[in-house]
Amino acid sequence: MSGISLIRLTRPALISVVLLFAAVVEAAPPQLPRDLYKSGAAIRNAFRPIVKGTARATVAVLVNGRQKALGAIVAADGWVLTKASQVNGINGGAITCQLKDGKTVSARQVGLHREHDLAMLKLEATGLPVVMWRTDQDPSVGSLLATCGPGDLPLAVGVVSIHRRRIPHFFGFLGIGFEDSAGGVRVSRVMPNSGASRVGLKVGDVITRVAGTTIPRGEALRNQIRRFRPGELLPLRIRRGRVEFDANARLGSPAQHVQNRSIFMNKLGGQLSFRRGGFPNAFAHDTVLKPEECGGPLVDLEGRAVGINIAREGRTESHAIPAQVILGLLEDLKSGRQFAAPANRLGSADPPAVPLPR
Amino acid sequence: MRRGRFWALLVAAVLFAETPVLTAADTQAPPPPLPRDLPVVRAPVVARPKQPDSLTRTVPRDVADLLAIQKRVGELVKNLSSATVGLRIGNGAGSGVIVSADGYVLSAAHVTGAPNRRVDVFMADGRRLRGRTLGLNRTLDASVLKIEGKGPFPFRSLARPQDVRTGDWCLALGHPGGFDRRRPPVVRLGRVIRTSNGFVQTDCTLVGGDSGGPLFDLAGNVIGIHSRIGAPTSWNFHVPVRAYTESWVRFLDGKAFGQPSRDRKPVLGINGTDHDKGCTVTGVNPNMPAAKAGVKPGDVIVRVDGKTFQGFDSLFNHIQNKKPGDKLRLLIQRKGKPVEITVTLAGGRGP
Repeated sequence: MSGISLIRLTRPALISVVLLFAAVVEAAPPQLPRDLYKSGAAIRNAFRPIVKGTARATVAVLVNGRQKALGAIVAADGWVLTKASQVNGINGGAITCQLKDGKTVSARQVGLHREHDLAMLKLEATGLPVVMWRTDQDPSVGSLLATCGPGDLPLAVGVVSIHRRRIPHFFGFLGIGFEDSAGGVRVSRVMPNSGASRVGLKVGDVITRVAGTTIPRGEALRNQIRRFRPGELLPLRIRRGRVEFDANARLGSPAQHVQNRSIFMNKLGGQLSFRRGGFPNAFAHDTVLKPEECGGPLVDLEGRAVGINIAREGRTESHAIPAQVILGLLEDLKSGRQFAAPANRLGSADPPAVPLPR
Repeated sequence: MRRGRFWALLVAAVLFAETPVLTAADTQAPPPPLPRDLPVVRAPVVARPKQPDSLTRTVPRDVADLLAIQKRVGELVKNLSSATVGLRIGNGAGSGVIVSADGYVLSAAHVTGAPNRRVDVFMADGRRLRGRTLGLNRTLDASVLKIEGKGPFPFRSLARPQDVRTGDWCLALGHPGGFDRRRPPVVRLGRVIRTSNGFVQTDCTLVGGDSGGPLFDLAGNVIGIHSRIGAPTSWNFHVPVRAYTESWVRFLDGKAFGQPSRDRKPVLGINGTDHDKGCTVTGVNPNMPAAKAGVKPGDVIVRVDGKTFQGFDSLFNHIQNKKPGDKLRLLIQRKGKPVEITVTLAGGRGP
């Protein structure tokens, strides 16, 4: 709004914040109608014939009746691929899928690939329309893409921004300040509403081990935490006075706690996916999506599905797992395989919670 | 006494070198003629060639039009990418675009900061070159720098300012988050939403690190330089090419000029997103008019001054036609109930 800050686009934190308060608009020159924006209704309408086939094979995935993601029907007898962390099928709520005709079908999670963040759902249904994949190659940078929803028009459109690559993961955030101390790292500050405060860490506690590794210095602690992602449990051995005990702190996302310019700017323009990094193989595109619009297919101008939207990463980027990668995983996921997280981190089962001493 | 007057004359000649100063020397011998091929220093501007209709239609008529857009983008991407550079200046990072074979680079004033600073210039292939900042215009956020070394460097020319029109398809390149060796410049597509003397607005999404990067038309010419953003994804503002073409010589001379605008603008003090019936308030800036009048996050503004409107941008337009101190009547839906709030607009640049 007028009151809104226009933000200078230099890299975070390094140049001081310049907030310009709508300094630029003079006498409001003529403006392009919203319908004609890149993802405006009139433009998306031109994509109508392209998404026709794949939209029929796109479902909304609901958890306890609320849409959390989209999904792609990958086999006619009720197999749906979606974004795992949005659905949280192991200990989450009741999953249902809404088909294009409006029918709602209950589903259960069968297979899981943590690293790609993909979950395979099984619906009690047969004769469903199936996504047709493009398998020869990834769409090249600059190719137009349409993200299918259950409707007749695509939800949004964009272009490929970056070819496929490994997407680095965001570090999990424990929420403590610390200093070196004898035999470990002393907690000097605990941030409210962080994993550390929820697990009961207190100022003065000494962290001696993390995930089985001895922590001699703050640097080692930092390196250990960086192996874990937001949402994962960090096993800690803590010494408080003469007592030593274990605790598992659930790591938060830096975006929840840290206020810096980069995070601030990336949140401008809408909500981001909670899990939005650490994908082994994904290409980026500039389609503006909501977190609950990820998990479904996106198509090229020939209507072939080129991938699954897997995350809204920031203001400028969404990530998609390429069709070729997905095809290589389908059979394993249907057979119920649970791909563990990478070996350098926790196994697939979270460690049991350990009660804290009084 | 005589000697003193002589010196005074000389000083005058130096200060007013552009105005004819008659001295004794003039009357004796005529100056040598100027060389005919004296280079006139101008910004590297080219006219936009006539584009096929498929690229210029307001609404793509069919899939064939979309394919034509995609084909053109595909042909351009490689060349645009190799002319786009990452910049590191002191502790700051940004982007830029090479506009001549001998290595002149356009960027944003808030990226280069001051003339004659050392710059690391990163090419799309990861090569690091040295450069030095030249002039900057702080009002329009425009700046120029020069890569040291012979070249020839890959470059893209500037479009003529009059060729940039609302509705043009455009491509934004740059290094969001700063230059990353494993990632070439990031490509985004959008349309020109608004043009004015001071800026070009598009829906090519930008973020920190993009600053100074280029906005291209589908002819592959530079039509803007990334400058600033607001909360909606359609609020991406670019420095217009006019800023560079009109002052090219001053930039090359290393002049720093202009000040950030100090005009008092009408300020309401909310963040918002589009809503079918108006706009949703997503945030209220403390101590600003909206907050003082009791507007709350989650409110849906459905009427302004008794009129319905569509979307955040149109509310923004409405307020731009007001002055600080003017009153604004907002009809708000709050938890299903209508609430009417009158806000007095503040003026200024900040809280």
